[in-house]
Amino acid sequence: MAVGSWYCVFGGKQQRRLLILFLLLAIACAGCWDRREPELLAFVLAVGFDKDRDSGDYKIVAQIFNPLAMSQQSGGEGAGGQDKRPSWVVEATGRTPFEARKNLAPMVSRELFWSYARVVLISEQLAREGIRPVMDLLERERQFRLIARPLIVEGDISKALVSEYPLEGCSGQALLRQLETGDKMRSIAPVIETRELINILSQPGRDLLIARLGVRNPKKGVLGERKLDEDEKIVATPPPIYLGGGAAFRGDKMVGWIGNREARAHHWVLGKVRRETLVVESPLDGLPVSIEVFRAQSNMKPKINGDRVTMQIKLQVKGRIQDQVTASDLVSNREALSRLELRFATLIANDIKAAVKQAQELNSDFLGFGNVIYRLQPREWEQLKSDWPQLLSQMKLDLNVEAKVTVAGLIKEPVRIK
Amino acid sequence: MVISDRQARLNTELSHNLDANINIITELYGNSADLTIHPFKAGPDQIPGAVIVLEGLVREDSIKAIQRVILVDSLKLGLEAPKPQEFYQLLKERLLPNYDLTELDNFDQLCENLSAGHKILLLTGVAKALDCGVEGYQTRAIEEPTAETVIRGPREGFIENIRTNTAMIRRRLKTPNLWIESYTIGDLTRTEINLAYVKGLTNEKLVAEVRSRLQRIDIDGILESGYIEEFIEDDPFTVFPQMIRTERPDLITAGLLEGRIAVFTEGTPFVLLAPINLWELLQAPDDYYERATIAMFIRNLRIFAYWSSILLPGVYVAIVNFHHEFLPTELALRIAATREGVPFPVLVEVLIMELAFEMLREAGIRLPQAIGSAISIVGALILGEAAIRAGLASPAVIIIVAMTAIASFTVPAFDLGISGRLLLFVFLVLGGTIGLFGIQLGLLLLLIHLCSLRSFGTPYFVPMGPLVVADWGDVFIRTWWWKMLRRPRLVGSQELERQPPGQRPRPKSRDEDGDYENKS
Amino acid sequence: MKIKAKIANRQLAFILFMMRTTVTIALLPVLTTADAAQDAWLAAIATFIGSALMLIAISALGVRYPDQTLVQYGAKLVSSWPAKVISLVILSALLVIAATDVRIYGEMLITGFLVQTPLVFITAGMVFAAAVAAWQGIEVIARVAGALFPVFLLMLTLSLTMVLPLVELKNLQPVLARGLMPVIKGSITPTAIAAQMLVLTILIPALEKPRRATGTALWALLGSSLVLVLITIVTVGILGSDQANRSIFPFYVMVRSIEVTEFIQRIEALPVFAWGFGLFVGIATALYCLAQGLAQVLGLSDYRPLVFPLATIQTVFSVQAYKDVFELLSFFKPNIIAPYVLTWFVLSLVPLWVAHTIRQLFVQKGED
Repeated sequence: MAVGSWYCVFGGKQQRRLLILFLLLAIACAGCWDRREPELLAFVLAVGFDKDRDSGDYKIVAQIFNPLAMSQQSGGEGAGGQDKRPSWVVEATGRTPFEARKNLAPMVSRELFWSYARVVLISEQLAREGIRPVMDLLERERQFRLIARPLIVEGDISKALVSEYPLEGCSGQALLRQLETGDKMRSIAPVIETRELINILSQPGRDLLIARLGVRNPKKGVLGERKLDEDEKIVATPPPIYLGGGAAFRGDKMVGWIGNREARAHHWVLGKVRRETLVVESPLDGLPVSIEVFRAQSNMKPKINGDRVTMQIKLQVKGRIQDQVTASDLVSNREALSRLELRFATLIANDIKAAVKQAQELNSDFLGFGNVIYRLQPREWEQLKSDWPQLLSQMKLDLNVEAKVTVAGLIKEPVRIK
Repeated sequence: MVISDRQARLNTELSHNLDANINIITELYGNSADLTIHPFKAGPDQIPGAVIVLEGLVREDSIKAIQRVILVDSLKLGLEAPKPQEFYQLLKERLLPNYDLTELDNFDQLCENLSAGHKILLLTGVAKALDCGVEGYQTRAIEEPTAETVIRGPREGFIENIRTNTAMIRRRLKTPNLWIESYTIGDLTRTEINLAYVKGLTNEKLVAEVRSRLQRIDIDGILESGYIEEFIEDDPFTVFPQMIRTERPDLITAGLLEGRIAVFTEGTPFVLLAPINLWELLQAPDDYYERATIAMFIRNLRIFAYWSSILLPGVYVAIVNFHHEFLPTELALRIAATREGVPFPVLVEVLIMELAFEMLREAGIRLPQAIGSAISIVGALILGEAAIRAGLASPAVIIIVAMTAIASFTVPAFDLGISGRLLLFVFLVLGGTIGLFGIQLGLLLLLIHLCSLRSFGTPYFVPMGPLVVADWGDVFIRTWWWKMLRRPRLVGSQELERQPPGQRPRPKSRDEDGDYENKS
Repeated sequence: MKIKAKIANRQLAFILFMMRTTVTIALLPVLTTADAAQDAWLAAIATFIGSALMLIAISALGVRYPDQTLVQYGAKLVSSWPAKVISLVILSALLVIAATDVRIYGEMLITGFLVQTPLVFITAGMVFAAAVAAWQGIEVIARVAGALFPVFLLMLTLSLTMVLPLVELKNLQPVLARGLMPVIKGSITPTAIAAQMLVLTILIPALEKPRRATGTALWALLGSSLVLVLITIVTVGILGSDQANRSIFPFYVMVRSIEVTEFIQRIEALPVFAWGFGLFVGIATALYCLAQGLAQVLGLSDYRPLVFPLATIQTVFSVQAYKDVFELLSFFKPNIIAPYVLTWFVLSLVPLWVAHTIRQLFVQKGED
């Protein structure tokens, strides 16, 4: 009780309230360790990682949002009168990616805040040397979020970040939107989130395929090589980047670029196609018809016979005719339609074959065949996994593509010109 | 002589001597300007007497009427020279019985009644005073309570006269089971306090508890029911009101019907209702008159508004200062951009704006109505706009402060709304010093406090803590009247059944009568 | 001294549910302590069976003495002094568990949100709130638990349903590829954590229907196990087993690394708030039981004077017991926590059960 009685002081109703008051005071006096005013932060909207060619150091490129530009837009009189650019791109190097990040601090007037970096650009050089160190930082550091989308840049990262976008405030936001739209409209770039990337890295029998971001020569515009007039410049700014294809990896190292077609095949095989347009030649006169795919399902099943692996791929695709150059009536003619569907299916099958061939050449299992074996027949995988790279190159395909054209838009056949 | 001695002096008996009696009264009242003595000499023997009133409390003509009775009507009886004692009996039994007569024999009672506006008749040779009753004093007319307006519902409100107030309840509850107990509290004010409840519906223990708490009060004066509230509530140190105080008779009647008690106080239109819980303070009378579905939506909106009026500024400061990553990108960039150039930290900025708003609100109440609206224009429009233009405050903060203010005004009980405004500052400081962790800590402490509070022995935070899901029917939803089969479990346990089930209205089925249309 | 306060059995279920759910979702020990990997959800089911057995071992004895705490019926069973020792063992277990709970929460906050804030500040704040509640008594704790329960459930449901579209069940394949061993190993730690249920030894006499305590607690256990299974499936389904396994707080990592829509993408506040609420209920109950039990051991008439000293001890313990987060995590390794908890049981409940059984036999013989 001797000890207890002292605390008894806090037992009384009044005293308890006093204690609460003291606690509040303590909070008020002692708190604030992590307090940061929002205007003292610099929000990074896009981050790029590169490797310095000479020293072998990691290089970080950050695109910082400039709030002064926004308060100008919204008509705030308070902000400084002159034109402010919407973003600022800075870079620094270090022996580790994090040191590189810290080395940015002495160059920037505000504390950098990384949670809004939703796009992670990785240079080809770094990708070929291995992306694990960068992924480690992204996964470990609390400010980075795994919803950021990684891209492998073909070309210069800084160039991709400094380029101006007519529709968006700054290129970081623009890139993010473009990734979303690109993924929604076409299936030629395998855009994934960092979370999925890390998951794939840890999956047995599966290699990475990360979307490719190409940086265009800014001089080439919609009007071609011709020199632009002053007023043309405003409306005819060339799109500074493009999205398509991808970088295939083995482990965490990039082994080669693959094209749009092969990237599309990746989506076919994994059943991830949301929307994609294929141009099929009409079976009647050979003139092209555009078919937009709106649903695709895939199913993979391994057949293992000793050392020989055959991969069964079943694909069910549904598409609709979006336009046709050919004037022939494809819809009412059942036979023509099924021939069109056959050509449509062949086109898809060719995509896949090309991709498998590329995978075998690069020895990168970016289509995840090994993983299918691991998931469905884990015991067999135990025996195969050590020889998998070899087995992959000898793997046979058993393709079964079932493509249907089910919708033809608002009209049945083309206008009858008389 | 100090007041206590003077009070003691009152405790003397009246004497046979008229002049002595009058002297004592004049002395007691210190020759007050309004003390009026109308002397008379009545009957053939010219028996001296006096009618004593306090001017202003009594109508002039009623004194004249009494004087006529004494001087003229007594002669009509044709009695010959009655003795004072006989004359007194005569007055009491034959002449004045239509006045509300009482006999008084000591000064204590005499002075109290005199002060309450009674007419006192003194006669020489009689050691008693005749109290000729009170005809009521001037009161305000019954009006709509301005602080508690409703869209749908009765428009009358309580006034300062306690009898009128209890009558309003009587008129609504025509049952002998409505019992009204009277207490007189206040040594000097002698204020009448009435305790009303429905016998048989209200828990006897509750009535006994309130009774004993009322009897415990020993104070010189009661001017408003607030005094009573502070004397009888369970926890005086909390910001939460543990009783409803209202000017609306319908609210009190509804409370009585659920087995609660009401405390009326003379001289104030505010009547207390207890016991209650937190959620009942968030209910408006309209909720029960309006269509159930609408009431349900509005009620939940109000609950949401109350909690956001407590938490909103604190959470804003916590997120903007500590957890920048919680905001959607565009919103974060916007806020950062609007903060550009503001010279205060966010916490200070919000504190200043909240304090400014509090002052504005207080000024609006104190000023006459005509100027009051001008103040709100100056405050809201000019001050806010100027602060933003000058870059002293960011638009986001102005929006937050305005939203908090609007939210706190949706709370029907003014005292609960104020409690929210007070807690706001606590959460603001907590959020501004340790972020959302502080908010969470504050919420936990608030919850502990709410869960340990009681209103006359019933848990204050019911039906959330303790969790009584069956009672949610009158908190988060407002069930239809034909479905409100039970009274609230904790106050109405005496007689839970409110009405028989199966009263849901339905159209007559087609098989019986067919459509109305076919018939016509 | 008898416990006068009474709480409904339903309220006990709320308390136990929140207490248990909080700890198991915090570290997701089915995943992180062993290599059950994609079969962690099976480990979660196994955990239910294991902890149910443990619960019965704890409460079945208490139910036989419905109006006495372990301190009191222990004295009846094994005489006064040994009973006091046994009670102290159980109380120390409660202290360790409660302090560890707070520590995990503190570690999560200083890793995820308040990087610069000293750990002791967070643990002290939380323990203070719990102490205030414990001081007010078990009735208030039960009420707060009741009030928080719907909120807690709503937050968990929201954070689970919002991420549901992103779950890839492929990540759960292959099922049971490496046999049952990893599954059983994965269930050891979460089963050991069920030693929290030791609060029942003190709480049973405070119940309205003490004889039904085991059933009530089993319901709570079933509910929390269900939540655990769901959370494990969702976490592995989104992060993949490897990423979840490497995370220190997998559920938190999972929630913060998904994007529901452009506007709703940072919902980690939901589970963290739920976690804080659950933790509060857990440590407030533990603190109450600790003070109540200790008061009975020392023969005090009121437990309240002990609440704040014990809270101070708990705060100090939570900060000092583990040097760093690695040591904290190593405590949860099956080969450390299992013997630890086993020792508690051997030293406390086993002698009591033996004494009880002997007594029972003796009494029955006497009746014959």
